[in-house]
Amino acid sequence: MIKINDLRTLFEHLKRESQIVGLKKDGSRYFYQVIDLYDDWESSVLLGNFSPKEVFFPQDEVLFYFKAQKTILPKDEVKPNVLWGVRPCDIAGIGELERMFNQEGEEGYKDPYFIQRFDKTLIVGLACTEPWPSCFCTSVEGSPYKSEGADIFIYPTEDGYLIETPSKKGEAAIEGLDVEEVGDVSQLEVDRRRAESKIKKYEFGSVTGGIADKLKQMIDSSFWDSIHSACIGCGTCAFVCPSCHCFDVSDASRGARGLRSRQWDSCLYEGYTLETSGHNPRPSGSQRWRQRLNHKFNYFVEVFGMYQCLGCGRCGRACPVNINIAEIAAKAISWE
Amino acid sequence: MSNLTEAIREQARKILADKKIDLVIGYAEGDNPMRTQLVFIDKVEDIDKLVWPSFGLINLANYLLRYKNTPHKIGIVAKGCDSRSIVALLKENQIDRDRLYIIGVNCPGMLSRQVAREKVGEIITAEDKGDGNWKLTTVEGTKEISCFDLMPSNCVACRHHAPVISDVIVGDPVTEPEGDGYDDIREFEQKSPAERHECLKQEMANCIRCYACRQACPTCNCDECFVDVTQPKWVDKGVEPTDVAIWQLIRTYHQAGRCVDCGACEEACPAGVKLLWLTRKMNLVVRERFGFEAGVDPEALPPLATYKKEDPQEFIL
Ligand code: SF4
Ligand code: SF4
Ligand code: SF4
Ligand code: SF4
Ligand code: SF4
Repeated sequence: MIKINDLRTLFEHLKRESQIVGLKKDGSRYFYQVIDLYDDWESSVLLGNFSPKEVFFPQDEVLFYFKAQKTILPKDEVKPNVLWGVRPCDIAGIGELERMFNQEGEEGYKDPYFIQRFDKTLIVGLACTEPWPSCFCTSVEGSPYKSEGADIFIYPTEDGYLIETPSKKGEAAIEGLDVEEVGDVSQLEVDRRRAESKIKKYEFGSVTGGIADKLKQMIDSSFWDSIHSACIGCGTCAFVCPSCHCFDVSDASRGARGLRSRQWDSCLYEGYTLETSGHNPRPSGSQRWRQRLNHKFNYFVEVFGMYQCLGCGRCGRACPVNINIAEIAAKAISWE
Repeated sequence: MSNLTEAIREQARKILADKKIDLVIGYAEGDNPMRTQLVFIDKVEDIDKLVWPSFGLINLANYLLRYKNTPHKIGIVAKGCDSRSIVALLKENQIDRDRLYIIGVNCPGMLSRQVAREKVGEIITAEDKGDGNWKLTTVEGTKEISCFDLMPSNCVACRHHAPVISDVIVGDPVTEPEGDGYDDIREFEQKSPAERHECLKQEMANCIRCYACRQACPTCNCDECFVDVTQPKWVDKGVEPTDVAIWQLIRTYHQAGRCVDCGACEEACPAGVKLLWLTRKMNLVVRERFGFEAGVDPEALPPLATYKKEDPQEFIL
């Protein structure tokens, strides 16, 4: 591992080749936006109000334009990005988007819009020394010190920053940076344990054998009637979530051209499953919440072997009625 | 425990034990700073989950719509504005009065996490000091702030702290402030059209069209919202500024004579859009032109449901 004294040097080094996207204050909220100056970066904010998923998967995205028999692809050139200062849970969230939108094998779904951005992005992760009370990553296989999925990962220490480069891309990116090699990194383990001890722990069992198994037996349970009552179906939880990836597709006209675009959607919207005939296979809030919890803690586990919730806690913070998905999952585990 | 919490529990316990109602809808402690959860209590043992919250800008009348076609008898905790929404819903035949038991609360006003965020930044922990001040830890450090500085604009403007309809009222009456509470809107009206336009444009630019505002509002209750209609399509999806403006303006117009200024929409918005500018401006128009205030007089006919020849119409397009 290597050490630097000031993150500014790394920032400036990476900025030579790419634009840097990081947390920036806008009004009273923090969003992932292009930062031109190091000092515009909000280094003390753990999580943005929205996740970094919009860097790869914007909320409203034109897929193509059309005119008579012709289809025209959007021309915006995707610029190389450095996604700066992302926390481990959000990095895991990006990993899930990748699993969905860039699937392995010939048959696997490949989303060109996501991939073109993803391929041009260098992910710079940042360990969380001060988790928030809403964090629960350690309950879902995460850790505030997990570097997996990042290209470059920063560990703040007492007297500077340790830098790890988990990927070849990251290694290449820091070439030429003036650094000091460090041999003994045992302090990191102490720091990791200290940060983890601050995080609220829920017992979900092992990924495949715990909550996922339990949920499989609960499809017809009365549990679902007991948890959704306060939910107003506003979809806020899905919009702020780093791994929610559902979208709706719609057509619109712009002058003489038509365009097809996609927008974020949410399984908690009543219209999400509404069919053209007027039939809705998930007509009630309880069925919709059953879908949400199962997708996060069961279906995704079944297909990809991992939770689809990374424990960032954004949904509970942003939900108008403060519904905490971890608490609901924990209730499901202990439901008789 | 506050006196109001105690009084609410006492009333709720009574009606539930006497089987006057099947369930009580009320507030409960949240698990994040400045947050409030809701409870739907159908067992006397659970009554102690009920609280009177500091941050209770959720309009509980919204939940009555769930029971529109069920046989349930419902107890509901209602602030001044919630009670006005109940009146508005009764007028629109959305609920039956005889299936409701309203525990009205003389509401001293609520606090807002949106206001807190705007004043001090993203909040990590919050502690009620008990002396009217809150200690907030934010990403920028720890600050102490008076509860008066955490009041949302609708509570500052509120002139109906007492429930307008109820079966029992708890809490001490609140003295209504002087004036009609629309000074800020009148001040806004004084700005030049360009300034007003710029201001609204900036607010609209933040909207992500998630419709949390609609979902939080008891009177945003159409079976099918115009934005969800696809045949014909009234407005495109997505966040093109004109589409966002159409969505916001029509939502506002549809609230004419129905919006009670409870602030639930603004508090729910994940993007921090200041929606009350729009609805309060419209409320002022309705008040000045039609002499009507939503949900205040159970007998008065709402302006959208009546037509009088002498109705002012010079501003109709
Ligand atoms: S479900 Fe909630 S806690 Fe889990 S990743 Fe999504 S926003 Fe974060
Ligand atoms: S959930 Fe874990 S990884 Fe995410 S911000 Fe909190 S501590 Fe960091
Ligand atoms: S944010 Fe809360 S109220 Fe809105 S859909 Fe999600 S769980 Fe329901
Ligand atoms: S809640 Fe906010 S972001 Fe969502 S549609 Fe309403 S104004 Fe727009
Ligand atoms: S529009 Fe907003 S302030 Fe008006 S009644 Fe609806 S939720 Fe309340």
